[in-house]
Amino acid sequence: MKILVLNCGSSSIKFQFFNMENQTVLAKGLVEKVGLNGSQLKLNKQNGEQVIFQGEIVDHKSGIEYVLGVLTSQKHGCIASLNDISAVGHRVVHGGELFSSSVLITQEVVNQMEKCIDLAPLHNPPNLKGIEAITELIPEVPQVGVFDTAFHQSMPDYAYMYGIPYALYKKYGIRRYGFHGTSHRYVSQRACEMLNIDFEKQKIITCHLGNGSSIAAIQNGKSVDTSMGFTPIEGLLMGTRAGDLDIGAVLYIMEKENIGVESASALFNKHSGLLGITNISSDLRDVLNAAQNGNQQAVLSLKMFNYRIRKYIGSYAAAMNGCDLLIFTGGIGENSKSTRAEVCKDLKWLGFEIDEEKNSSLNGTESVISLANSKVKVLIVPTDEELMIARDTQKITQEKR
Amino acid sequence: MAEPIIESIEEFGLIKNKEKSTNLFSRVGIVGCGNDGQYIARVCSSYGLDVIFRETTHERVFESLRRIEEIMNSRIRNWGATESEKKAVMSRIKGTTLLSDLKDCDLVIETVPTSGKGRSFEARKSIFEELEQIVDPTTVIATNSTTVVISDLSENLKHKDRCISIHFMINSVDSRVVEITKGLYTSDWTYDKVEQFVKMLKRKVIPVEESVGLISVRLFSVILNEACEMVMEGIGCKDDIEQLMLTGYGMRYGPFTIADIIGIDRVVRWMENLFNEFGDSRFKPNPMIKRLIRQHRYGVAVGKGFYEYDANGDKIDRVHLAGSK
Repeated sequence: MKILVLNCGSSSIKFQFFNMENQTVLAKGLVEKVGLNGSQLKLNKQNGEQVIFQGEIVDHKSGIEYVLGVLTSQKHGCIASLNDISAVGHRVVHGGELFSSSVLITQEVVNQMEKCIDLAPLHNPPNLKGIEAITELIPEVPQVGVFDTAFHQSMPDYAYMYGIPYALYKKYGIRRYGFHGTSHRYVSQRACEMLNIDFEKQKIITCHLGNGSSIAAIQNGKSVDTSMGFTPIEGLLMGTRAGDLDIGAVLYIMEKENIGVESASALFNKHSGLLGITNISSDLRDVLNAAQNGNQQAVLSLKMFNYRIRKYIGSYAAAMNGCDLLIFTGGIGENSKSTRAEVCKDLKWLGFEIDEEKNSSLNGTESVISLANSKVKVLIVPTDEELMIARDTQKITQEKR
Repeated sequence: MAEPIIESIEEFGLIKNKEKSTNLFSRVGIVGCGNDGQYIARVCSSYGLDVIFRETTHERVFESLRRIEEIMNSRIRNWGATESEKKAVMSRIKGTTLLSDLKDCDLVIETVPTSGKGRSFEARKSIFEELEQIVDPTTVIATNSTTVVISDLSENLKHKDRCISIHFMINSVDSRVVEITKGLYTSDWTYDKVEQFVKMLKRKVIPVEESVGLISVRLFSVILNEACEMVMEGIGCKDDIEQLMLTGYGMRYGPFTIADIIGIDRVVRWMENLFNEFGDSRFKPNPMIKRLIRQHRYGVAVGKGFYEYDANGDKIDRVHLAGSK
């Protein structure tokens, strides 16, 4: 079974093509600047070759048409015809309250997804365009939607509601949804596979730390809380996002700086976080370098970054009345040994004991990095959202048969 | 790592030999790069389009680029943009003194400054005619002017169907609205393409029938004249009128501040054109406005107009300053 995974952004299309017999990637790539000048399709072939296809790509449909054309081409393709594509899996950012798991896409599902556009006006429309394009180009191939928010739909109401008038929840669906769901689900399941333990009987805290970061509390196989909320701003300090912030401060800033919604959004999404505190970079590696060279704001930002993560870990351990596994993933979670060391430092009383040697030597690899007698197992699990989408797609299309 | 292989994408579509799509504008030309031209250049570039503008001298080209960069710096100071966005925006904008450098554009917008008594009309008309010699027959040629009608501007062109009026509002970052006017000859194809372009720039389209001053300029001229009239009659003072419009009608700026932002000299030219067109005295610039012109108080650009402004263009609060002494 061969599955194409698509992730359509506002002006980009990421794709990966899997052979599910052995779960290998046959081809992957990226369509850039869709609908803009300088659009191109980058393909990474299984043999390591990279091909850049240049030319006008006017919309998502045309971008996807080229992806299919390239995959089936004699010169650079990996399949003989479009019939070799068994199914297509789509990453969809927001499933609102309508989707709590991945679904086979039907017209009914598309109609429901359209209702979620208000919640993710930037992300959901291109996702839908991807679905529409596949429906037109290869109508007989089944499609599956995998939602970033779905995994967190199991949160209890007392965790997802905000303390604002209930009417606003009814009217606009203002509540916490959480994001990175596919990643949290993949790494928590993968960790249980690695340790050969039952996913449905664990208390797991997963830290997805990248340019956008979130933490999830997963109890008995279900997400019970996560740090991102109605939008991805809430929670941890991120590359350029503020994370948790007093609403009073937001209102005060808007008044004092005389800015409207658009500039405020840019301020808290693009000028804040590590970049805002350091004024150097949103990239943790640059900030670590600056801190080593004695930059005090860089030192401060790292302390803030780590402290927030610790605070969330503590609160989720309390929320679940314990913790069996702590997992680090995402660019920072997988590759920053100092972040993991600082986050877990002095948490022995809570049962977290990192093996310093393993934490350094196993950086970036799928591994257990806690001491043998640590009550909580601490792991690095590189995330693979595309594979998770491919697996869901395979499972759902096979069930349908 | 080995160098990537470069291919042309057209060979790899599922549907071969399809017609080259003409859905998109990818390169926008601007003729005359004053305030409006700079604004349009910056907005187009922000949304990924390549921009080339024509100014009359190298000094003006340099000055326009400098001012666009200054606006981006101010956007950064006010949290509206980031350093990397500024770099990307500036990298897509080029200036030239030669109209012929605009030959590869698929949209050209004329934004030469309005001057009184029909001089600008002739200038615009000859730009339209010159452009037709340079660009593709399918290139859309537009004017940003509000005081001339597109049918008159395009009447001598061979392909008049591609001419249209696109008026950007540039008062503030929130003025995300554009007036579009079809002339007598404008084709639906041209209108649809321009409408798509404006939506791509995340701006609302206001379709307007061909008429001097469109909606924006005609209505604002009357409001400002009436506001000045009330000050002269002693019905209310400038600050109170301003405050009433802000608080009472929820406007972001009052009429006097808007006039300062637009430029008093420009407002006067608008009014004179409207007065010439309609012959109605409500469009005749109020003596208060004329007085500002004589005193060279042209608005925010020169630091003083109805109000006074600091180097960053922020209003100097006289009342507050006096109170704090």
